[in-house]
Amino acid sequence: MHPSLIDILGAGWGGMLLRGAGMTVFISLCGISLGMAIGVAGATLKTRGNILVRGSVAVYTLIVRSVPELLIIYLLFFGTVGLASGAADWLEWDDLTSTVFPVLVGILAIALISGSYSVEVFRGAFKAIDPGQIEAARAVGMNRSQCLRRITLPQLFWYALPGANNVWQAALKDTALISLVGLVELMRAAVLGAAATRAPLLLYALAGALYFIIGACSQALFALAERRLGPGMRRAER
Amino acid sequence: MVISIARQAACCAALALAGAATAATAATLKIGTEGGYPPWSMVDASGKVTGFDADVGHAICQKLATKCRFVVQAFDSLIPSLQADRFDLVISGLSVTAERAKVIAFSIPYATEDSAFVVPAGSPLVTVADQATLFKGLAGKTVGVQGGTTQGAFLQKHAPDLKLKTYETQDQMQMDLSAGRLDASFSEVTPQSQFLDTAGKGKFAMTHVVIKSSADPAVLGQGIGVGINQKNAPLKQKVDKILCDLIADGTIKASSEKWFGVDLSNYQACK
Repeated sequence: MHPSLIDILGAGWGGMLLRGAGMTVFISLCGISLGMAIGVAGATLKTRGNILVRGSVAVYTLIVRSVPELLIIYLLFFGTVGLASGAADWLEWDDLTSTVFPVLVGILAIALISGSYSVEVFRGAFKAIDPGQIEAARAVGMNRSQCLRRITLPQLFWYALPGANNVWQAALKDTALISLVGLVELMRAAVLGAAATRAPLLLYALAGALYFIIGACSQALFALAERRLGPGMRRAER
Repeated sequence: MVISIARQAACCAALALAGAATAATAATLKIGTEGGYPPWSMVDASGKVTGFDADVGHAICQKLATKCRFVVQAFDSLIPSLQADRFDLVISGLSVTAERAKVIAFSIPYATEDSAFVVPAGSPLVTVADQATLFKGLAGKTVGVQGGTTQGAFLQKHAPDLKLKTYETQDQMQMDLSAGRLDASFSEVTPQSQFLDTAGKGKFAMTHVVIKSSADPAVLGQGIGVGINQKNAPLKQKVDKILCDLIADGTIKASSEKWFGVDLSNYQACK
């Protein structure tokens, strides 16, 4: 009576879920890249900036981290949907509001959320770098940009890796919330499939397995990154 | 994946150019729908919207001579998105209620979710010809309804000599019916036929007497309508007229029978 796994895959839901998983990874990657940029910039401003700049970064991280992710997504979506409709009419580009807009909102939301957590991750990483190293680098005649490229950045990413790993995993799962504003990513594909096939347990189990595979693969990549960045760092730490 | 995204982007760009060229002749009607409420609105594995409301949407677009585009979104976000002009219409099994009518406009109710009793197969009540005889036959029997529904209120008002048993969910009610703790259940036709297609197959049957919401609109609601932005009065006029045509020419009836096995057309709406 209930459809089997083979029926569901045969009806094409496997492909639908895989496309959804692709969208999940795409949104997560774009969002986290922007978020990391926000993180590095925010951390720099928070450690080096004047009181006004420091204050604005603190307000941003405070607000975004205190408000539920879902609310941020709703605020972004309903705050800009009118604007997007206007732009779509003006450009005579219907796809803008129906297809492209949820993707943009998704990327922006993930960027804002992961950015707010990354600021603290990178601030911690900045602080972990021994100021004596910077002084030494300046003393041997490196200019600011050399100092940044050779001393600060390589260590910054090393120190930030464990925290960034957490932020990435959280961002990956936050994408599921974007399904509520019409983006068909992995979670949404599973919900639609569950309704259409009346086999919710199977569809959700498949989606869970796909999330697990994405998470496990990214963990393997992070482990690889730690090993790759590791040797030079361990020498530097000695 | 990255390649296919790039291709999609290229496609979008190409479509945009094509769209810009043809926009003057035919605009696209954007229709918001839930996609997760079969058989009203659902999405197949290729992402295509199907179901009764998809048929209604396509029929409206055909009459308007425009292209249709369905936007699938969570049910909660449909009305706010309609207000924000994200789409032109909401067609998603949307009940016409006074509360919703404050923020959006409704078309005529094109369909009514009728309610019906499910009783053990072979019961003489299945073939009873009218509501009065049915209620007489059920007097003193235990009937299950879902709590907070219009069906419970209707029975309390019109059939006070039934023993009502209220359930949290449809599933719980149907399980108790299967276990023989209920003499009948009373609910909307859609979940009832779903039950008869699955767990209750062969053991239970729906009564031939169906309670139309026109029996008591104040209690049972005014039916299912198309949501339209309140600022868009011309579109509401067009949609109302088209829906009346679709009811009159049997399009709604055919589609309803295809998806629900019964005719949900609201023939009262255009009188």
